[in-house]
Amino acid sequence: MTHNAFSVHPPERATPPLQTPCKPAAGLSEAALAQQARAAFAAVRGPSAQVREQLRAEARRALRQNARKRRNAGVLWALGAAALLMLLLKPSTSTPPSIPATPHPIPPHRTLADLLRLLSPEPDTDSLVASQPITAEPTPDQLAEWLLDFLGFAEPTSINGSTEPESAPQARATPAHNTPGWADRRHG
Amino acid sequence: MTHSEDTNRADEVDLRAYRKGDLAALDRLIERYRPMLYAYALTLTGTPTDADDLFQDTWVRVIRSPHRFRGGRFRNWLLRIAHNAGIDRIRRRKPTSSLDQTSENGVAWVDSLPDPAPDAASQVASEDAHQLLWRAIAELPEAQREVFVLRIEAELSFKEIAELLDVPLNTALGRMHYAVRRLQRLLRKEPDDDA
Repeated sequence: MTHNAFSVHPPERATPPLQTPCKPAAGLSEAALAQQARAAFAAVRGPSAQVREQLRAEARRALRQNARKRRNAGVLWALGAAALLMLLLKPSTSTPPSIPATPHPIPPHRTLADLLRLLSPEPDTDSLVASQPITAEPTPDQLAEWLLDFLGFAEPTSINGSTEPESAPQARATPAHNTPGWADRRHG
Repeated sequence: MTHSEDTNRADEVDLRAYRKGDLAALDRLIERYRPMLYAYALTLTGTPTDADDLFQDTWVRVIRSPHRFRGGRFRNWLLRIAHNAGIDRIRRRKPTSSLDQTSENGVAWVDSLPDPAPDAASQVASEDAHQLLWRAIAELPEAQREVFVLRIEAELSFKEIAELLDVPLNTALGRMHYAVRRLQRLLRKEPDDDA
C-alpha cells in the first residue's frame, strides 16, 4: 500500500465505480486500509512522560498501602484475640440475673481447666491442668503468657510445666452397642 | 501487536510479580500494552489530553486492584477496564471530531505524532497520511470507531470484541463492516450514504 491510497484526489476514471454495499471501494481494500490504520496507530506517541511517572508513583503508593494494610490486619487480629481472651478469662463481678431455679452453668470462680473443658468438644476427664481457682485478676505476665500461648508462640509446655506429651486419656466406657461381641450377640 | 500464549503467560507472571511488590514487572506490563492501549484511548476520546487521562485511569485501576484479574487474557481484562473507564468519560464529554483542535495544554494533535525522520519529505508525507486517516477515524460513529480499533490495533477476534462490548457477535461484525466502508468513502472524499 502506498501513500497514493490516501490521496485526496482519487485517480480519474472513465466511468464511476458501482457502489455495491458489500464490496470495498476500488483502490482501497480492507487489507490496505487495515495496514495503513496500523501504521497510523503505531505512529502515535504514547502517553506523556508525566503520565508514566505518575503511574510509577501510584504503584509505589499502592504497594506501600497494601503492605501497611497487611501489617494492620495482623495487629488487629492479635488485639482482637487478646480482647476476646480477656473477656473469656475475666471473672464475673456482677451478680447474674436472678434465676434461682437453675444454677449458672459456669461458676463465677472458673478455673482454667473449666474453660478448656468448655472449649473442647468433649470434656477431658483426665486433664493434667491443675485445677486452681482463679480468684483474682490475672497478672500482666499471665495474660502475656496466655496470649502468646493462644497465638501459638509459646513453648509447647503444658500448664503444669511438664514438657512430656500428655498421656492419652483413658478409654471411657464403650457403649454397649459398640462392644465387639454386640453384633454377634444381636445376630447370633 | 500479535497476542500469543507466550504473551499471556508473561502478563500473568508480571502481574503476579507486581502484586508481590516488583515495580519493574508493572513497568514491563505498561510498556507492553502502551501502544495498543494508547491508540485505543485516543480513538475513544479524540484528543491526546483525554487519551492521557484515560490511559492513566485504566492503569491506576489495575495498579490498585490487580487481584481482580481472575485469569484469562490480561489484554482483554485491560481493554475492558479501559472501555468502562472510557464510557464514563465519553458520556461526560462527547469526543471532538476535529483532530486539529488543540488540547487544554495547548498541545496540537499533530504534536503527538513522531518527530520527523532524517528523510523529512517522506516523513511529512507519512504524517499527512496518518493525519488523514485519523481524521477519517474521528468521523466514524463512536461504536464503529471502537470496534475498528479493537479489531485493527488490539487484534481482538470478533467474538472477543462482542464479549468486551457486551453486544451480539453480529453487531460487532456489522459495526466493523460499516466502519471500513465509511473509512473507504471518507478517504476517497465520496459522499457518505451509510450514516
